[in-house]
Amino acid sequence: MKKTRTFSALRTALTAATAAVLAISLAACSQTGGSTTAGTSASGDQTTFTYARSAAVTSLNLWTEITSNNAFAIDKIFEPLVSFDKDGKIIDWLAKSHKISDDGLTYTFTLRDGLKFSNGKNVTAEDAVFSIEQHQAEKDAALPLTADIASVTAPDEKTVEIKLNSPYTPLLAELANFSNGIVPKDFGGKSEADFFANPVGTGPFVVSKWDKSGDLTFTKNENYWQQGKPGITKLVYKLVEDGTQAVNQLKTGQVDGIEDPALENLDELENGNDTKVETAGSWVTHTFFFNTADEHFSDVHVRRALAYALNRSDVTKAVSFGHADTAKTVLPKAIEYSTQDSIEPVDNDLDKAKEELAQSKYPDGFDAKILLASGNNAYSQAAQLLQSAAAKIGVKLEIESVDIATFRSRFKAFDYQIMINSAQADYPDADSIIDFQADPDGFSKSYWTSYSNPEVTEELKKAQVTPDGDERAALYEKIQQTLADEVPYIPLYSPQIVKAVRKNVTGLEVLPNNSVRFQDVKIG
Amino acid sequence: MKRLHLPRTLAAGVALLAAIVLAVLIIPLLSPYDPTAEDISSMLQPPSFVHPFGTDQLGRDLLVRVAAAGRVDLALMVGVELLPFIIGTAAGLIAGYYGGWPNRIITLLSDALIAFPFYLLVAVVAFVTGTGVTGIFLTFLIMGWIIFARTVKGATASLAGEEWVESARVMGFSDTSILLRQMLPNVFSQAVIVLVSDMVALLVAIVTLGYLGLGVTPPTPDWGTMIADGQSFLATRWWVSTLPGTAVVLVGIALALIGDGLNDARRQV
Repeated sequence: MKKTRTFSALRTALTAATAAVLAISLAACSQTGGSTTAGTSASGDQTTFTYARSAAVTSLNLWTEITSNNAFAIDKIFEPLVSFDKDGKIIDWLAKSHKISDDGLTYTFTLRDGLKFSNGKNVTAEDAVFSIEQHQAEKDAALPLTADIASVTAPDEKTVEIKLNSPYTPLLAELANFSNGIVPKDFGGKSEADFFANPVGTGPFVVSKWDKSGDLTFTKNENYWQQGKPGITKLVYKLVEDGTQAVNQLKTGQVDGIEDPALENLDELENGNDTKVETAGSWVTHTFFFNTADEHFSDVHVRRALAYALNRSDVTKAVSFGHADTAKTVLPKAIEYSTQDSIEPVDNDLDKAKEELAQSKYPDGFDAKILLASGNNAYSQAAQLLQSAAAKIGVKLEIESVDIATFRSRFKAFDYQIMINSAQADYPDADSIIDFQADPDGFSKSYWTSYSNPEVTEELKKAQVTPDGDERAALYEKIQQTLADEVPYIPLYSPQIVKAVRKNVTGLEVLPNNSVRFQDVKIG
Repeated sequence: MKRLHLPRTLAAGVALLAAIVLAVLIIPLLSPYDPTAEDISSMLQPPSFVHPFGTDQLGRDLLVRVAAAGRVDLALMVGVELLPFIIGTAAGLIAGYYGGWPNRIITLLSDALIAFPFYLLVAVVAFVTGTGVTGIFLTFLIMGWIIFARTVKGATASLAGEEWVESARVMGFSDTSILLRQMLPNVFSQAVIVLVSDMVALLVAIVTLGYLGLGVTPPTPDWGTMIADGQSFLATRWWVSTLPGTAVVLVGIALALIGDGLNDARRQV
């Protein structure tokens, strides 16, 4: 009798404990789970590179896709006339040179010699004309060309000429996008759908096996224009949805690289015996945005007070684990004309924060809310730091975390006071960010802050038509200074692009848009 | 003469709970650290003499945070449970004693409410009230009384037919007096046992909601948000999630032992 009672007590206790552990297992379940699939082992095969990615490739249509799972497969197959390097600088790619007329209206590209598609056919200027025209005609274009293009022509086999109705300096950077890759004229006689199911491009790799809900296997393009490249014969995009799994597979050599390793656990990969980390600067800046239409945050002194109260480098330290630059300006360093190295931001000065608030309409402080999407640990930590910074000057901030769908619909409806979100350049031109974040008449209304300064608007329009050079640099310097002073947003940090690879991997080129180039990769 | 003794499970549970309550009350008073003060320079330190539980991502001392969160969560657990307990017990007494239409209304209501999954209802309520403690309180007010009403109703109904109740009525005692003086003391112990085990479920709910970002919000420390904070470090910095998680488990065990012990004690009488 006594015994059974003890047993039942034990059982109840265990049941209760199990119930309590639920909370922990909830936390753990996204970390574990999934199964280890050995088989596509990379070790032993010297010429296969297996890349762990968290999402499968679902479409290879370069004009309609924008998400990285597809974009970074597309850019292995199709290549544009111009591209960009590790620092975000524009470089000639399929074009061996380009010329922009003095009036900024005519862009002339000369194709490289001996360019071939992966099926062995020559690349001509007609293919480039077809590609750009087809992109312009695409109704569902994800990254459409915004330049006012008058005509795209091929004066001869090697020359592509783009004429504009009005000058637009960011065109070159836009053309560097993966979405302006060159496809064969008329899809080589196939239908569009058939073509993108089995695409032919000039890129270093060709699709050989493709499971739209799983892995994608590329083989080397034997006709690649860069002599003797790529160095690997096979490239496998392996779907590993769980981050912990990916790390384990890298450690054991089941994969050779991880596309998006979590920063939190990077030190074990950096210091691992068999693993290392490759980085590049990014075009992303995580940022606090103020709704400047809000009664409190329409006051520039309030915004400056909060920016002064916050210590941005603390935020960077807390969330980036040594893999980010504290942002001082709206343009990340890997974008030309960024004044990251010279600008003095409104930052980390409690006395000045109090002075600013005293000059505002709310000298005694006020209550407000920070809106953020739940499930983002870095954002939640950053929000807590702003909350305690604000508390020091008498501003009481409440953190409101909502699911991502609600978050998006709310900030797009201007239904927030402060939010944390990421700003990203689509292509390596200052305009990509400035236009999106400072044009009150644009589609995003200054990144949904409603920030409006006619002087800035005028300068940014002028910068769009000013040729690259000192004059354009001066315009962007002035815009960045104004945005830093008027604080419609607090740029926090620019994370590095980080890829984890096996130690025996060399030649991986990490790009600021989070993609990589594999043509120089060697294993062993 | 039967010798009454405290079941060992009950003693163990009470001792464990008392130790936990004492710890969460005393640690924040003695600790040199403020549970909400960030110190980025000492972020994510493993447990040491300086920080026995280590520190979290913002460099906050986890020992004092676990204790401060314990104050919040345990107080919330007791506070939130109180009203549903009173309402449910009263409803159960009335339904069990009178039967008839009061019984039908209460049964219908509890059947209808119990059809809603608890967490779904929380999400809906949180959507209306905004995240925070109000949502938990309201949801539990709506759902929490049912289990007490059902338990007490059953016990009361079985007593209501007994002769001594009938004779009390004949002797002219009012219904109120019979319910409060005769019935309640007899069914109370059963309600308390249910209360203790229900608290475990409530604590898990509070922690889960905090974890999901629907419950207690920063800067107020809470075990659920603390577990969520450490989620990304489970593989490399175990202490950030595991220590607040362990606190939840310990309270769960203590309450389960008490519930079980009370059950044993009741059977002995």
